[in-house]
Amino acid sequence: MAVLELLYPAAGNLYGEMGNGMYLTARLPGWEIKRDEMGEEPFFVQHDPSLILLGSMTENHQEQSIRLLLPYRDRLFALIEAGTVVLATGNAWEIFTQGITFKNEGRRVEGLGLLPLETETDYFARNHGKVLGTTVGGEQTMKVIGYHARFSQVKGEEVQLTPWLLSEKGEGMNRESKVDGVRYRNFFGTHLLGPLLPTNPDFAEFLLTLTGEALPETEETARLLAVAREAHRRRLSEFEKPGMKY
Amino acid sequence: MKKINLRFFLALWLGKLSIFALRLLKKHASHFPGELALKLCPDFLQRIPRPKTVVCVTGTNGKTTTSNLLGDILRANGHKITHNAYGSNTPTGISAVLLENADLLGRPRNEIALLETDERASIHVMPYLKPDILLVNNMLRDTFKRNAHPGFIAWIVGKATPPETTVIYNGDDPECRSIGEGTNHRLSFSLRIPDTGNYRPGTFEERPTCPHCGHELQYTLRRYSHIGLHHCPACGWEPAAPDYALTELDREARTFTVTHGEKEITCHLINDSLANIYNFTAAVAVLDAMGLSEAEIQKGFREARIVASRVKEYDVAGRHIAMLLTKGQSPVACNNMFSYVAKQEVPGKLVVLMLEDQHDVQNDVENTCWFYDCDYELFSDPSIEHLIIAGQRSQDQLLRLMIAGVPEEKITVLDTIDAVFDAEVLYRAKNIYFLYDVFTDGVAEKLRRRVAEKMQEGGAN
Repeated sequence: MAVLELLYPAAGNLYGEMGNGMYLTARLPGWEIKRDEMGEEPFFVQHDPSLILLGSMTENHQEQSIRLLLPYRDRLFALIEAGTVVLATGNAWEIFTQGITFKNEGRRVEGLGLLPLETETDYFARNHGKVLGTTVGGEQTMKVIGYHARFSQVKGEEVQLTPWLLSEKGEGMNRESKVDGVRYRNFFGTHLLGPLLPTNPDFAEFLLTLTGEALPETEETARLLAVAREAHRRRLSEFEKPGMKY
Repeated sequence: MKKINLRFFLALWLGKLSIFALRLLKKHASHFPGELALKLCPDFLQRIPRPKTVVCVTGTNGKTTTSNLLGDILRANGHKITHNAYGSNTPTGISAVLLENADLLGRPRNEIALLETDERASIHVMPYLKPDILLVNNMLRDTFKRNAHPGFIAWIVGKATPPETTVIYNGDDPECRSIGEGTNHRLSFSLRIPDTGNYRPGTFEERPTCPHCGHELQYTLRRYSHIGLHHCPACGWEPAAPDYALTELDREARTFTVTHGEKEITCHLINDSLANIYNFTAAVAVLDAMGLSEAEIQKGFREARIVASRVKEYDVAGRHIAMLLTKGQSPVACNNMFSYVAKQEVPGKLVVLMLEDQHDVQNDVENTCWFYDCDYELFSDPSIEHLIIAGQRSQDQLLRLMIAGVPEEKITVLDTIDAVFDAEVLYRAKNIYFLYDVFTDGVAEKLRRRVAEKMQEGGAN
């Protein structure tokens, strides 16, 4: 059975991050939904989920998540190497970098180390806004819109990585970059926040096709998709208005 | 405190002059004088002599209600206070009220300053005014564009709190627990009564984790959002016993009792909403910590004004209309109102959602993330017969409601708030709930009047 794994939803639920899981639950009747509680062994350790979601969290929860996932890092990386679809949104993908430096506290926490990037968090340098961009890290390119909100900048050897999104308007992974996020095999990391999938239903469909699972096609799911696409169309036209601030 | 200098006096005198001028023009002097003072003397708050006692009230919800209540009670007991009751709670508003209540040499006229303090701006106020008492009502999920997350706000407030301040905090709120921990004298308050029945939990709930082991906290009683009696099932951590506990609530006799050690303070219950029960408990704790006697506190509660409600109700031509002020983009405030609608035990409920941010409609594209922090699932309750969604983001809300399991045939989608007036379904309902955002206040009231007139004329019956 196809399984959607929500990794640590008790932590990764800031800024509407539950939206991805909510949308997929409605989009995927018949899929099994597994929630990993913090402090318990994640589902992926003993099983092969079809898709893993991890969302924005507090900076304390970033540290806790790294600590809790470290014992299972090899298994998680093996799944990613094998092509399991993983979507980490908001600041959740930062835990996959080499480390997070908490500038205000003068300390650095080792990350899970999947990506050759570094994260710097500064509570006095918060930034948030909109992003309009085009996906480049996939077989299919499409317009994506979304929102970001964070205290962090991610920097490093971008050239070594396949970016996920090229921002036309709005900030990338750091203030100087127009690149947001990373695609590594079927791992997608982005600073765009959690209702990314209902906000961009065609990207959600693309992600789901990568799982290789059969996707339910009912009257209800077709209608849901139609409403999501119409909402996306309207919002995109507003995002593209001349003079819109980002 | 920095020394008073010429620049300070210039700021003080011109600020006072601007108050005089604004009053002549019959305008509010709650903001501009402070703005002027800070422009002329950016460290004005560091230089102005502080009143003998400074009490700051901060938190996400209930700041205004609690500080106004405290003000009423202090005044009822003969205290003259400096209070930003009508002003802004940011550094400009606080500067304005302090300079207004200072003499020409900057000396405070009143011994007590009671300052509602914006939690985000507390870092620009509290380090300089060094409050004797800081009340932290709660740390809830608020508009994230401004406030990020409660943990961040708690960090800011913690950073802003000088070590000499006594912190009175909500012990039922796990997000408040870090403020002043290990550095300050702290007193907690808590409700220790059975469920007040005010909150109907929905499908989305905050799930805070243990500060020590990271395991999800368990609630023996969740009152709303993440507020309630909690502990860690994994490591056994639980908050310390409260210093001030609300131990009795008698709705019939209109009384509540707060226990502090051997002391039991029973006061008049002005209003019995859950949020206000917390506010009253917090107020008793602050007043007791300030040294007011039991009799003085009781006198204050007897004489205090009735707390304004966010719910206004009208009976119009055999129908019931409720106007619910719902702070858009603020998930906890929204969920409280969503919950209020869902728990009303009346037939044929119709809900009109007008939650869009008017400022964003004109200048921006509203961030829709907050829809997914709000419990739209509460609208799938069968007692709600129909929903009208009105405004620019109505298509996004339609999607959210469908995800929440609300059948599409129960939803009318309108692109503007004005279009609600012509929605026939509105006039067929017996119980109508208008949920409107703070910035939609005027538009909503105008709509209600027009709808009421049409109903009285027998329109669309």
